[in-house]
Amino acid sequence: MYGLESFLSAIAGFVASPAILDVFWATLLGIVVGMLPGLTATLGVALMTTLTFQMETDRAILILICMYVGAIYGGSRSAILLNIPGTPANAATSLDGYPLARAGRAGSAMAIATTGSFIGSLIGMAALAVVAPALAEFALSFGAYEFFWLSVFGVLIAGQLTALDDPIKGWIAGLLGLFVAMIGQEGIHAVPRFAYGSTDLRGGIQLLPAMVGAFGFAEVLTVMRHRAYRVVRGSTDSVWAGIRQAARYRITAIRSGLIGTFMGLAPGVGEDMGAWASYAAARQASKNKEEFGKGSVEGLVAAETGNNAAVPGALIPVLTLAVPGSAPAAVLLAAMIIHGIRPGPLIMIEFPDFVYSVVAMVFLATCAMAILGLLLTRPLLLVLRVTRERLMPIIFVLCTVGAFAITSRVFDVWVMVAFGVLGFILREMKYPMAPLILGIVLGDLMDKNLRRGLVLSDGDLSPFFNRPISIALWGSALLFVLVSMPATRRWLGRLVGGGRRRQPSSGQPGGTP
Amino acid sequence: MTRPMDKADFVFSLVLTAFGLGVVVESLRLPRLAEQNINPYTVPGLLPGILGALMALCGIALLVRSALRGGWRLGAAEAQETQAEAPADEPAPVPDRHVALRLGVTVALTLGYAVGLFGHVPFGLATVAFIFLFTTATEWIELGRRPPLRALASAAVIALFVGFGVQLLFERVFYVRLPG
Repeated sequence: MYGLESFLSAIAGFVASPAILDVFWATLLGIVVGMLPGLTATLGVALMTTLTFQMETDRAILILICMYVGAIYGGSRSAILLNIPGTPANAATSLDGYPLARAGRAGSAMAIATTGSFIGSLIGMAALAVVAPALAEFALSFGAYEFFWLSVFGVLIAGQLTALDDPIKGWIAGLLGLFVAMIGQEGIHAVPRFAYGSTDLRGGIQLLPAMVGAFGFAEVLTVMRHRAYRVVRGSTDSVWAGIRQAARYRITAIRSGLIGTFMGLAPGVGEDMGAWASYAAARQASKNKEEFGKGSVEGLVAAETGNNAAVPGALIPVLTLAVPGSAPAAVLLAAMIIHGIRPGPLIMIEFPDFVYSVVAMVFLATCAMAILGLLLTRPLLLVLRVTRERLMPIIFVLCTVGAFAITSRVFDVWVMVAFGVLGFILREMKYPMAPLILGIVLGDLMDKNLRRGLVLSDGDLSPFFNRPISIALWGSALLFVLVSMPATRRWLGRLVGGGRRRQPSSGQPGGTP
Repeated sequence: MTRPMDKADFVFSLVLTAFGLGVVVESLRLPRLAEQNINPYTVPGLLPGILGALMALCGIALLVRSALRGGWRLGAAEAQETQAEAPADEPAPVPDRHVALRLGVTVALTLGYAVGLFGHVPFGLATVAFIFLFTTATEWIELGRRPPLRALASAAVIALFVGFGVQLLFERVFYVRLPG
C-alpha cells in the first residue's frame, strides 16, 4: 500500500510540475537518438548525464530514464526502415520489421513495435515495483563474501551472454574492465596502483568518459567504417491497423515481457538478450514458425516487448544491489551516485520513496513513448535523412565536451579517445563492450569485498564457499563456465543423445531390438 | 585457408598474455605495507595480481585455439568471409573501395581535434574547423569528387551553428568553462 501511495504521489508530483515537459522532450530526444544508426541508448544516457549533472536529482534521473526508454524504442524505427538496428537491442526487430516494411506495411510494423514496447515497459515496470523492494530486503543479508561473488557472477554472466558464440571474448572484456577499475588509489589503504607518478591516473579512470569513448567514439569509427545506409522508400500503411494486429498476440507479449524483464535483471546482459530470448521463445511456441524472419507480426511483438521490458528489469539490480543490468543502466548507476543517491541494499531504508519515483518515471516515459511514437510516425522519418557525414562530427564534439564537462579535466578527453580506439579495435574482433563496462563498475566492489572477507575470516577461504548465498552464486558462476566449454557441451550432448537412444527399449518392456 | 579473425585472435592473444604477465609482475611490485603492520590479506596487489594471472590464462587459451586454427600463419591467404545473402529483388552490393581512406580520415581528424585542438585552440574556433573539415572530407570521399558549393555552404553553416551553439550551451546554461 505504501508503495502504491508513493508511486501515485510521485506521478502527481511530476504531472503537476514542469517536469512533465521534460518527460516529452527527453523521450523524443531518446527516440531520435535510438533511431539514428550509430547512436546507442548508452551513448544517449551518458551524454545526457553530462548535461544534467547540475539539475535537481529527481529531474535529472527522470530525463535520463526518458532518454533510456525512448532510445531503446527508437531503435526499432531504423531496424524496420533501414534493416539496421538503431541500437543493438533492436537487432531482432529488423528480422521481421524490415520484411514488413518492404511489403509496404511500414506503418503497421512501427505501430506493432510501439505496442510491443509499451506492453514490455509496463510489465517491466510492474516487476520493478514488486521485485526491487523485496530484493533490497533480501540483499540486506549479503556480506563481503556474497558481494564478492555477486561481482564475479555479474562479470562472468555478462561476458557469457553478450558473446554467446565465443564466451572467452566476453570474459576477456570483463577482465580488462576489472583491471581498468584497479587503476588509481585503492579504497582501503589509499595506495596508488598502476599510476606511475601521474596525478591524473592516481584519481583513477572515471566511468563516464570511458563509456562515452567505448560507446560513442568507437561507434563513430564503426559507422564511418561501414557502408552508408539507405531508407526504405515506398508506400506506408496506417499505423492503427498495426495496433489491432499486435493486440492479437497478447500471450506472446506477456511471455516476452516476463522473459525481457528477467534478462534485464541479469547483470550486464540487458536489452539485446531480452529481445533475442523473447524472440526465440516466441518462435518456439508459435504455430506459424515458418513466418519468423519473413515479416511475422508475432516475432516483431516478441522482440520489441522483450527489449523494452529489459529496461525496467535492468534498473532492479541497479537500485537494490548497485549492479547494473545493462550498459545504459551502468550510466544511470553512475548518474545516481553523482546526484547523491546511494543505490544498494540500503536503498529502501535510506531513500524509500526514490524506488517508487523511479517506477513513476518509467511509467511516464512509457506513456510519452507510446504517444510520440504513434503520433509522430511520419515526421520522425525525417530524422533518417541526416547523413552520417554530417551527424558523426557533431556526435564526436558532444563526446569530447561530454567527457570534459563532468570534472573539467582534459585527461578525461584522452580517456574517452583511448577507450574509443580500444573499443573500436575490440568490437572489430567481436569483443562485447558491456562486460568491459560492467568490469569497471564492479571492480571496486570486488576488490574491497575480497580483502574485507579475507580480513574477517583471517585468511580462511571457506566462508567464501560455504555460506548459502555464496554457494548459490559461485555454483551458478561455475555452472555457466562449465556449460560454455565445448568439451562439456560435447559430453552433455553424448549423455542426452545416449539417453535418447536407450529410451525406446527401456520404454517398451520386453520390446524387440 | 585461414580466417582473418583467427589471425587477429592470434596476435591479440600474444598481446593479452604479455599484458597479463606484466600486470602480475607489477602487482607483485606494489607496496605490501608490512612496515605499517597492515593485515597481509589486504595488500593492494592482491586482486590486480589475480586478474593479471586470469588475463594471461585467457590469452594462452586464445593463443592455443587460434594457433590450432592456423592463425599463426600471418602471411597466408585469407578465406573469404561468408557474406549474408541479399534478397533476390535487391541489387548486389557494390564493393566499398573507400573504407580505409574514410576510416583513416576519420581517425586523423577526430584525434587531431580531441588531442591537438581541444584545450589548445579556442573551443568555438576548433569545433567549427573540425566539423567543416570532417563533413567536407568525408562527403568528398563518398562522392568521389568535390562536393557541390551548396553542400559546402550548408556544411559551413552547420559547423558555425554547432561550434558556437555548443559553446554557448555549456558556458551559459551548464556553467562549464570550455578550454582554449
